[in-house]
Amino acid sequence: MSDYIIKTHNLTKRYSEQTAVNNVDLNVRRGRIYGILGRNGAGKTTIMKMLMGLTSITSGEALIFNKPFKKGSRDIYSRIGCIIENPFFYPNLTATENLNVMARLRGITRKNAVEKALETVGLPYNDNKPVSKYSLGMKQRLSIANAIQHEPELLILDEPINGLDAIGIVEMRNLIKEMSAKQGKTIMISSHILSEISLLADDIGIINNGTLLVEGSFAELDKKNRKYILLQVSPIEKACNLLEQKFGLNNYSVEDGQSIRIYSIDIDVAEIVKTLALNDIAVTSIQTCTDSLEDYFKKITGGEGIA
Amino acid sequence: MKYLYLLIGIIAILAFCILFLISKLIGAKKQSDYIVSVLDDIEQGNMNRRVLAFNNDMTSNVCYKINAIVSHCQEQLMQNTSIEQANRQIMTSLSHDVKTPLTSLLGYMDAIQSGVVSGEEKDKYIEIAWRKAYDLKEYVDMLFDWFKLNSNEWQFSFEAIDINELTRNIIIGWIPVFEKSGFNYDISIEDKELCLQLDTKAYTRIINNLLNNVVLHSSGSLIKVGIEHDKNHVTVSIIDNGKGIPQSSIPYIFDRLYKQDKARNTKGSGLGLSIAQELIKAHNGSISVQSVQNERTAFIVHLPLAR
Repeated sequence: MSDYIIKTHNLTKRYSEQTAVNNVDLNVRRGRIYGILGRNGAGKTTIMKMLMGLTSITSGEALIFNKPFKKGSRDIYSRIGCIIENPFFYPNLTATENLNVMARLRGITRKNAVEKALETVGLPYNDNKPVSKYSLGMKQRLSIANAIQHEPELLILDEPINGLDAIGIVEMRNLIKEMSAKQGKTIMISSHILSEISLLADDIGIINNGTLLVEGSFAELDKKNRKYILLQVSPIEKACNLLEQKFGLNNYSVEDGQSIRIYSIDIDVAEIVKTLALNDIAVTSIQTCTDSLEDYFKKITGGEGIA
Repeated sequence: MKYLYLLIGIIAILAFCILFLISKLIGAKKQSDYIVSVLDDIEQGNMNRRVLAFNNDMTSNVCYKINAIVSHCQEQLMQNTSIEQANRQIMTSLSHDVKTPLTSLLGYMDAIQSGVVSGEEKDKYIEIAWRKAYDLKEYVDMLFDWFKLNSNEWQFSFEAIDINELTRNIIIGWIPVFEKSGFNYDISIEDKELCLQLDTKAYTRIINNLLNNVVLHSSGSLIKVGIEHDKNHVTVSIIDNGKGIPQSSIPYIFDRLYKQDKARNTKGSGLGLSIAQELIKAHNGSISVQSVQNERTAFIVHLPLAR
C-alpha cells in the first residue's frame, strides 16, 4: 500500500498559447489533508480537473491510488468524491431524488446511504423542495452530500467554503477535520485564503501562475517562517545563562543540535554574538528569519499576497 | 400444426428464460469478482475501501454487511492511532519542555560551580537556580498526574466534604502568593456547611491549577473566588481582571498542549487546565470559561450536589 494517494510528474496543461499548469510535481499523502494554496487563476482548479478526467492532460502523468491515471479509467471514480466548480443537479428534483439518481449510477455502500449523507450536511431527507429553490449555501451542502454518499477514500474539493456563511464555514471545517481524523480519508482542498488553509491542511502546496513553488508539511513551513533568530552555540548552558542574565531574554527554546531559537527579533544580534564570544562561547552559526508565514507567501507569489 | 407453434413458443420462452438466467449469473459473477478485488485491497491494509452495491442486486446485503464490519474495524484502528499520536506529541513536548528549563538551570549551576560569580551575585544565582529546579519538579509532577489520569490509574475516593471549608483552607495557603504577585483578593464563601461528594486531593488540585493559571498568566491585579449553590448544583467561580483570553483561543484552552505563548517558555505547561477539566469530569461536573479582553476572565466550575 503506497504512501501517496496522488503523485504527479510534470503535469502540464496547455491551452494553445497559454500554459495553465506547468510541470507540476504534486504529492498527496494518504490520510492527510493537502491544501493547494494559490491566487485566483493560479491553476488550482485546472489541476483538479485533470485529476478527475474533466479535462485532458497535455503532458506529464498522474498516479492515483498508485495506478497511472488515464482518462476514462472509470473504476477509480467510485473511490473519489469531488466538488469542482458548480456541480450539476436536476433543478426540478428534490435533494433526495437527485442523490438517489447518483446512487443508482454509482452504487452505494449502505442501505440508507442517501439519508445519512443528507443528515451529515444538515439537509432534510425525503422532503418536497426542488433544488431550483435552494440557496447557494444549500446547494454547496448538497454538493458535499453528493461527494461523500458513496464513502470514497479520496476527496477532491475545490474551494469548498465558497458561498457558505460564517456558521457554514465552521461546520464545513469541522466536517473535513472529522473525515480526516476519524475516518482517515485523504482530502485535497484548494483555497486562496491562507487563514482557512492554515486551520485545516496538514501539507500544503503553493501554486502561482501554473507552477508549484513549494510543497511541504504545514507545520514545517510555519516553524521555518516565524520570526526568530537561530544560534548554534557551545557550551549551550552557559549561553542560556548569559541570554537570561545579560539580555533579560526569556522566550527562547533549546533545540536539537546545540541550538537556541530566540523568538524576539527586535534585539541586536551583533551585540549578542559579541557578548557570547567575549565569554568564551563559540557561535558556529546564526540564522535570522524575519518573515511571518503570510509575508513569505506574499514574497513568493510576487508581492500582492493571496487575494 | 398448432402443436408446432406451441412447441416453438415453449422453446422460445425456455430460451429466453435460460438467457435471462445466464445473464443474471454473469452479472453475479462479475459482482462477486469485484467484491473479491475490493476485499483483497482491504486485506492488504486499505481500511478506507468500501464495496459499492446496487440495491436491486442479490449481493447487495452482503456488500452492506462487509462495509459495516470494515467501518467498525477502521474506527477502532483510528482510535488507537490517535491515542498513539497524542502520546507521541506529549513525549516530544515533554522533551522540549524539560530540556529548555534544565539547560537554563545548568547554566546557573555551572556559573556557581566554576566560581564565575561570587558574593551577592552568587546568592542571586543560587536563588534563581533553586526556583527553576522547583518549577521543573512541578512540571514533571503535573505530567505524571496527566498520565495517571489518562491511563485511568488515578484512584479516586469520594466522600461527603464541606466544599466551603475545603476551599477556604486551600485559599488561605495561596494568600502569600497573591500578595507577593501583586493580587488583591475578594473571597465570597458562606460560613454555612455545604456538603457534596468530593475527592479532596482532586478538588485541591483543581483549585490549585485554576489559581495558578490566574497568577501566572492573567497579568491582573484582582482575583475573586466565589461559591454559590442552588438545588442541584454548586458553582465555584474564579474571576480575574487581567488581560483576558482571545475569543479564537477559547475553544482550545483546555487542550493539553495548548499554550498561548508560542515560544512555550513561560512557566506552566498547557497541562494545568487540561488536568483540571479531567478531574472535574470525574466529579460529573463541568467547567467553562468566559473572557473579555483586557477586562475580565471567569472560570466557572459546576459540580452536582450530593443527595
